[in-house]
Amino acid sequence: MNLLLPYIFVIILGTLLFAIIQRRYPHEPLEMIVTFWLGLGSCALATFYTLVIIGHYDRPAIQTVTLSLAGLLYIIYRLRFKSPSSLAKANLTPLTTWLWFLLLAVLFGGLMSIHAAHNPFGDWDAWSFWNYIPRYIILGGSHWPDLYIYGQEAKHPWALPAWNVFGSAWGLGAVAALNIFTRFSSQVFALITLATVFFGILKLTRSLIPALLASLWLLSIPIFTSHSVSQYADILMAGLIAINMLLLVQTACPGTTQADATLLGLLLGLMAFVKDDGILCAAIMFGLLLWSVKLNKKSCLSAFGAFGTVFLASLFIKYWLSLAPDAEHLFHAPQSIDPLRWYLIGMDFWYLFTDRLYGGIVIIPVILILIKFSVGWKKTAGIMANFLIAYLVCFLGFVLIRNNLVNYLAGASYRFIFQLLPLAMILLFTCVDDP
Amino acid sequence: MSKPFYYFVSVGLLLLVLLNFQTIMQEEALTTLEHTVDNPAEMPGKPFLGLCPFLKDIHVAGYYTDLIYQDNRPSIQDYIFEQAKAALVPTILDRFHPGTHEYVVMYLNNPGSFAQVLTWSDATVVKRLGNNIILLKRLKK
Repeated sequence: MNLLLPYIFVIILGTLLFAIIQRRYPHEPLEMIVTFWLGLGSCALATFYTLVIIGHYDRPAIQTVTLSLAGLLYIIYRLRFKSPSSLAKANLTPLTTWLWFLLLAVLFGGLMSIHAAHNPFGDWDAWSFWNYIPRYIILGGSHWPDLYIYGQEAKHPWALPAWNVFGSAWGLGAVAALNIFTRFSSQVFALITLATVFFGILKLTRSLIPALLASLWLLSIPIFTSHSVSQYADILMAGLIAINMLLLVQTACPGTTQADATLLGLLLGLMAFVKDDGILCAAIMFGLLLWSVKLNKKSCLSAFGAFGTVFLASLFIKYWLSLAPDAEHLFHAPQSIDPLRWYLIGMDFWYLFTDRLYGGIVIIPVILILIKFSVGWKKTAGIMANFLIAYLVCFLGFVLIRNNLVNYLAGASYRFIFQLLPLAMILLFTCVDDP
Repeated sequence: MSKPFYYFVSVGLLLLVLLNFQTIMQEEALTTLEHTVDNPAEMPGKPFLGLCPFLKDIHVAGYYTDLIYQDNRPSIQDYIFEQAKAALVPTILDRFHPGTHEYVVMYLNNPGSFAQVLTWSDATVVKRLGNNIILLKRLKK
């Protein structure tokens, strides 16, 4: 129960936020996923600002802020909907669809548990950021901002330690139990990502078979299963990229409301709060929103306002980031024209795409290119592909000017592919089913 | 997509999924994926946990390393320091004035450095973990 209590708050806060913005309850599975991310973001931000204002970790303070936030949202919700009947009625997803997903979830859960049991502390990021930073925040008293001042840590995930501290405040409490909470959280995030792929494809293709095949393929990819429970920040990014892209595609459809744009803006802000890569992804998606989707002025302003509201938190942390050691020595632009660097990057990607641990994902770009040059892509697929291409170009640009290329590639390129895997699956199966 | 082609693709993908499951279950693949479990190089903070019982009531301890800090550049010594301070919290590590504290946590990369440290007249070794990590106690000043 203690493990679940933080998630109960996620559901309460997320549902209230969703209902206030959309004027109805979430009734589609994808809307429930959006609700989950909204709730998670609210809890992480509330925890972070409590730490900033109080000056140190204070369990009762975090609990009070959470309850106050829930109360405030409930008052707004009641003021906005004086009669509950004004909320739209639910359009339920068939039970068989849920049963299929349950089957996939059990299979995925089993595979993840095997990996998690073998690797209880996760890999580098998991150990240092998910377990160490919260540990320092909780036990370090007023010294907690030190983490953001010197060293490398300032450049890494911020939402996750805040979420872990929230989990500790509402959950098991003891620092020793942080490890259990992080492991549980990673599995929840991975399942939510799988759900995004399954229900996303189901919504775009209106067919169960592609959704099942894509999900089954995704969960069978060895690196996806293991990395999900060892590098927690990346699974969060993978899930957020997929759901944000689905929201963006939905926003491109006729009949989009201002509320849809606001939700997208909030989740883009959350993505920027999660990781540095998230800031880049949010910027690309925002560019696509303005360029491909062509929203009306009001919706655009709503999206921008929502994005800005959450992004402020990231900027606030950037204040500490600016105090971290400068990273000028990491980059050197002129070396990007060196053919050897292009060759090394090409070989690295070739290795990743063809290695058996990557479960045959080399098929994805091949089929996508074939479809593009034979029948072309529809608008929705085009938007997703544009994002993938833009992100790839940014990544290549970043890698090309990076010093110590070989070491950097070894630690970064597989994460880049991992983050994009769920979205690539959605794009592939949407294209194959209905190009 | 035509129906026969649809089935063909589905069967192909299912075969690929089976191959992937086979890879997961193979011992070699599991070893490759989980190579970091016992590799302290991947988790430099983990060994510092062994000093926790000795620093129980110490609020601030010094931190000394023979790794050279390079002009405010983040590098491996930063990683190790960041992880050490998180592992040893609530004891706060002071890396700027290590000599001013009663207890000093040391991370020594060069074996020669240890011999040099032992020549400190007022220092006694409280705990030594492997060849790199040492906890020293100095006389109160």
